[in-house]
Amino acid sequence: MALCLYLKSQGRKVYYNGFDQRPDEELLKNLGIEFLPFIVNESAEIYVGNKLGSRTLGKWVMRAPFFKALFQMMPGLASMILLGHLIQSADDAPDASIVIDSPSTGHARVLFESTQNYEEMFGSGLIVDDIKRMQCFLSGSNHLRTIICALPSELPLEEGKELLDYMKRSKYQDVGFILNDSLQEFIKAENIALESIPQTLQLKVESEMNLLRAFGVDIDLILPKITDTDRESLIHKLSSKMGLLAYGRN
Amino acid sequence: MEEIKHKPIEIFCGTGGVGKTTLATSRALYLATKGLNVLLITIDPSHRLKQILNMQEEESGVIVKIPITRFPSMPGFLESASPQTFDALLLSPRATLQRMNQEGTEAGAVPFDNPILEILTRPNGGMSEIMGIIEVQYQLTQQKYDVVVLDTPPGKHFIDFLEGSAKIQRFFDKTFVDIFRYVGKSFEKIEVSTAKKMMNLLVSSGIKQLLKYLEKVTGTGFVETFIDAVVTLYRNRNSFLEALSFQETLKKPAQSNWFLVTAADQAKSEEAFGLQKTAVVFMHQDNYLVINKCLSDDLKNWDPAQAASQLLRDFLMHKESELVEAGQQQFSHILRFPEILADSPEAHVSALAQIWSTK
Repeated sequence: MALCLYLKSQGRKVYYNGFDQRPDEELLKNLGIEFLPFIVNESAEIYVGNKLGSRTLGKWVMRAPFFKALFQMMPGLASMILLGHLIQSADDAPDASIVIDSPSTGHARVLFESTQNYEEMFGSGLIVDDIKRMQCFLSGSNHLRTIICALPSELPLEEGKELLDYMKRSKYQDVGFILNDSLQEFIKAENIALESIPQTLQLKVESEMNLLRAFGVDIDLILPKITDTDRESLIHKLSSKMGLLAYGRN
Repeated sequence: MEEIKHKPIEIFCGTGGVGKTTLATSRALYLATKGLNVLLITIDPSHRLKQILNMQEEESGVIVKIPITRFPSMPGFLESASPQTFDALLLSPRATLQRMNQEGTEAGAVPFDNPILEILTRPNGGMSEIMGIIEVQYQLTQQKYDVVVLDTPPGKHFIDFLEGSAKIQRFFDKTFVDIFRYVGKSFEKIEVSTAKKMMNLLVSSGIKQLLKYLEKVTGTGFVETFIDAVVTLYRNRNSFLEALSFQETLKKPAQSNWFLVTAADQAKSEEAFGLQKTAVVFMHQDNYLVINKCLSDDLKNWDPAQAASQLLRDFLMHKESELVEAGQQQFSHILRFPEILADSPEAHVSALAQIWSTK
């Protein structure tokens, strides 16, 4: 949401999408962020309808008991269709940005691998042609920026690193890495002396420093802990720091 | 903290990054030190458990014995050598389906070489939640373990897991079973009256329309492979349907402990309680809110002069007390675990396990 606000402040048309989770619509409205309310079943109806040349037929297929049951058994398929719908929207509005709040790591992998899996599964035909168009769009320059966000502790960093390695192997090159909620960054920004804070917090700061030293990955942005209990205010504060993320390493 | 009675299934759920996997592991370790037979399963496709237990991805689908001696002792905990182990399993959808197939179906075991099933049951093929239910129910049915501790995927994907039983039930509806028995056989062997009835069912269920659609938009041969995949699943339907009783087990206070994990230092309270509200139809009322990474005991005597430090202290204490207050309204019990900064994941787990033992 902070990235959406930043892009909007730069004069860009921007949309937020929570992928397979319903976003806080009131919060988005209060922040003045437009969102794409795609629901996976509707996306699938539209897609199947397009292929069959009839939206009515698409609805009928999607609502038929067996197809509905099958669709629910294969969440990777639903994710891929939703991704396809988002890509279509991005392609239709080249001057806009869609910021997708993606699922967490394991399920993000399911999403990214879904196009390869279903291409392999279907083999050939109209669906595979569409999948290849999706892959072409995603790997095209200036189409996709992926931002991996991790908390400053060992397991999240390790998970983030694995995801980063996977993205690079899959030839998604424009991938940024940010560390969120850093106590060390807060202490530094507020000029608080390390020895003036309780020992547990000192150890937490030192642990963060040691982890980052050992991490071995360039971190594009370290966001400090923000002591704001109001979400809107917190998002506004974060948005002012989003410049580096919006334009990447180059 | 009073000792919590162990139950056959103990579920750790919550949003991402709150320490769910570490806490689940600590619970497994603690119960193992009491001489119980424990199985720790993770169905989160990110398999964070392998890092904590030094397991390899290649060990997915295989039950691995974890010696308790791997975990460092703490004062008053694990101080003497213990022969105990606990078992750990990184869920592999492929391994679960292969086991089901090898154990035979009503028609006897069939070769598991369908390319669609091979792809769907890959680690990130998307079948973790469905296969997770089947694997957990299988392990419970074996009655080999006193406790199965379950580490679940974060957030919304935990709900997908809970809804897996309903999805299985819809997919294996008797109508569809009859239809796929029919399409799995050659036409010559079907009586005319049966064929007519099946055609009507094919149309009304949408299967005929689906198959026509697939013929139009996929490559040649896909439809046959698809039917073969569905028939394979249907031949194993008893294993799928046995998993439905898992949902009933979750609702019985005598059979399950629910631990919803959140963290005191993160702005996750809304998401955590939202998860609980969605999951409430699957849960019983005797459940636990686990507040991890608590700092209030360390902060309460901190009286800093600097305004920014005061802000930090007040913020951290406010987040924690807000969680406790909200938790008291929605949960039967609240458990607090302090922030632990350890040299290794094993040391972290050991320190948390010691806290489970506190009376």
